[in-house]
Amino acid sequence: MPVESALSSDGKNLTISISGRFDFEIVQEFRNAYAEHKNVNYIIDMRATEHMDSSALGMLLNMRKSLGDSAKISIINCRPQIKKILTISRFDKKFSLE
Amino acid sequence: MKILVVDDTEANRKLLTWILEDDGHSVVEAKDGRQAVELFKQSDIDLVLMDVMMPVMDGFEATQAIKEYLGDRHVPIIFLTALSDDASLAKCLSIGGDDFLSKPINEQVLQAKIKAHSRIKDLNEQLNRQNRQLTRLNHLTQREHEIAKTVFDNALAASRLDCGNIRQYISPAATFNGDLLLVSVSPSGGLYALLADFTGHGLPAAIGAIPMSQTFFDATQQGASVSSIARALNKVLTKFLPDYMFAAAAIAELSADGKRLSLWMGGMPEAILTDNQGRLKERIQSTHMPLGILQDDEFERNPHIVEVDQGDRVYLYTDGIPEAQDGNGELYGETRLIRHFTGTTPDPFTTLIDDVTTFSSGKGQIDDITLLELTCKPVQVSAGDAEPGTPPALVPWQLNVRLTPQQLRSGSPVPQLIDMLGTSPHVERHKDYLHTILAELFANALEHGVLGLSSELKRSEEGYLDYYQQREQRLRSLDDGYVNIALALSCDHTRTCIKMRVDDSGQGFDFSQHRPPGDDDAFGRGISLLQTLCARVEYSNGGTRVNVEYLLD
Repeated sequence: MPVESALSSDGKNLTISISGRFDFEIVQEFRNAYAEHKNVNYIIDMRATEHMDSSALGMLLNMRKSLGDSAKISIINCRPQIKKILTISRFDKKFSLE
Repeated sequence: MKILVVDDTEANRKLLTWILEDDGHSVVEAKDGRQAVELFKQSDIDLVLMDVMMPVMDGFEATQAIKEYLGDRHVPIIFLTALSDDASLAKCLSIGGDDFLSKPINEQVLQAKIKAHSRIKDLNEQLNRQNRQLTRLNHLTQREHEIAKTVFDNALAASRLDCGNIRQYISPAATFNGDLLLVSVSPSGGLYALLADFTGHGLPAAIGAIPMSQTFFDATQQGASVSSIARALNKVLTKFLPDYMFAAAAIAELSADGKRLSLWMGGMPEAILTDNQGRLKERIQSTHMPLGILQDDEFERNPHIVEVDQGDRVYLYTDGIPEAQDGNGELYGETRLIRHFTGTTPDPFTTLIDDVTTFSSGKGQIDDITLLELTCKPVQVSAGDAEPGTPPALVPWQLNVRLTPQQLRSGSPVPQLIDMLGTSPHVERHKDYLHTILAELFANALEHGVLGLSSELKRSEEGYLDYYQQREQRLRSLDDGYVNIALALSCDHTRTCIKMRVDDSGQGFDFSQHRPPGDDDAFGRGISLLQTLCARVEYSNGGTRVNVEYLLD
C-alpha cells in the first residue's frame, strides 16, 4: 500500500506513511487517510517517499485547508531531495518540517 | 574371558585353571610377579588373579607395574591372599588392586567376583568408547562454531559503523553471541539500531542472524519505519526458524536531527530513557511479543514514539544484565540496574557494566550481555568507505521519445526515462531532482497541453479530486495528440548539464502571465519549483514547448 495510516496506542497521533511516489495517483487514498480522524496530531512520515511532485504539494495544502490552521501537521523523515522541494515551496510556513 | 593366574604354588594354579576352564574361560599361568608382567604385556588379558607372597617379584609390585602399563584402560586385578589382617587387605586395594579373595578359594565366590568385575570392565570400555566419541564430537562442534562465527561476523560486517551517537558493550557467554546488534543509517540521515536476543546461543543464533541482518539492512536502506522493519523481521523469522526459536528484539530509530525517537520492542527488558545527566526520564516497556512467533496477520506494529531533548540517552540491553547471578545464585535484578540512572553518575553506561561484572564475578557469566547507549543528538556518521576516485569523463548523448495517446494512457514514462540516464556517478546523485523536474514537465505537457485541463479547477479540495477525475476521463477518450520528450547530456569545458525539451500538441498558454502562487494556492507550484531547481527554464512556441537545463556539478 502506498498510503498507510496508523493511530498510536494512546489515540493521539495519526501517522500517515507514504511510500514510493507521492503524486496524483494516491489523491483519494491520501485524503481518506486523514479525513477519517479528527482532533489528533497528524504526522506525515515520508521516510519511504522516493519522489514527490507539485500535485503532492497541492494535496498537502488541501489537507491543511480541510483540517484548519490550528491542526498540528508534521512532516517527518524526509529524504534530502524531498526536503528541498518542501523548503523551496516554503512549506515550513504551513507545516512543521522535521 | 582370558584370565591370567599368578601363583608360585603349582597346585594352586592348577586348581584355579581347572575351575576357570570349566566355566569356559581361557587361562594363562605365571609363577611369579615378573613373569606375570611379561605375560600380561604379551597377551590380551581380561582379568588377573594375583597371589601376594611370591619370589622374585611379589603381587603388590606386579600389580603396580601392570596398572602403570595399562594407563587409562581398565583390567581388573583380584588379589588371592592368605593374609587376613586389615592392613594387608587395605594395601591390596590402595596400590591399585580392584578386589581380593581369601584363601582357601571358595569356588562360588570366585565365580561371582569374576562376573561382577567382567561387568565393570564392560562398562569401563563402553565409557572409554563414549569418551572418545564425545571428544570427536566436541572437536566437530568447535569447528562448526568457528564456521558459524565467520558467517555471523560476515553478516554483521555491514554494521561496523563509526557513529558518534552510539556506545555498545557486547560480552558473549558462549563461543559467540546469541545477541545481535546491528546499526544502520536511513536515506534521510537518521540512525537505526537493532538489538536482538535469540533463544539459545551459538549456532542457532547464528542461523537466525543471517536472514535477520539481511532483512534489517534491506529495510533500513529503503528507509522503512521501525514497525515495518519489525514486521519484515517477524515475517522472515517465522518463515526461517523452527517454532521453538524466536528473538526478543528492540528496534530504535533516531531521526536525523536527533529529536524524535521511535521504538518497537518485543520481549525485551524495559528500555531506559535519561536526560543528558543520566537521570531517569522514562522506563519504556516492551509491548509486543518477540519476533518469529506471530503470523503476519496477527502481528502488532504500533511503535512507541518519544519526542526527546538534545542530549537525552536511551539504554537498551538484553536480559543478561538483570538476570546476571552472584555466587549465591541471586539475580542482579532491575532495582540494582535502575540505581545507575539517578543522575549521581554522569556515565551510567560504564558504571553499570562495571557493577554487573563485579556482581557476577563469583558465578561466571551465564548469558550474553549486551548494552547499547544511544545519545539523542543530530546523527553523526563517518562513512566507512572512502569516496570512489575521479569518475570517468562523460560522453554527451541525446534521447528522443514521442508518446502517442496509447502510450500516454499506459502510465508515466518518467521513471523509465530517468533509468535511461545511466548510472554514472555524475548523474546518479542528481536523479531524484531530475525525476522531479521531468515529472513536472511531463505532467504540465499532458494535463494542461494535450488534455487541456485548467488549474482553476484545483482551487478547492473537491475541485482537486474533480481535476484528476477529468484527467482520467479525457485521457481515456484521447484519440489524437502527443508529447515529445528530448533529453540530452551536454558537456563542455565549463559545465556539464542535462537538457530537457518537452513539446506537446496542446493549445499552449501565455507564459508571460505566469506569476508565483500564493502560499495557500494548491496549484501553480510546478513552474516555480522548476525555476528553483533548474539553471534555465524557457517556454516557447506559444507555450507548447519548454526547455530546461539542469547543472550537474
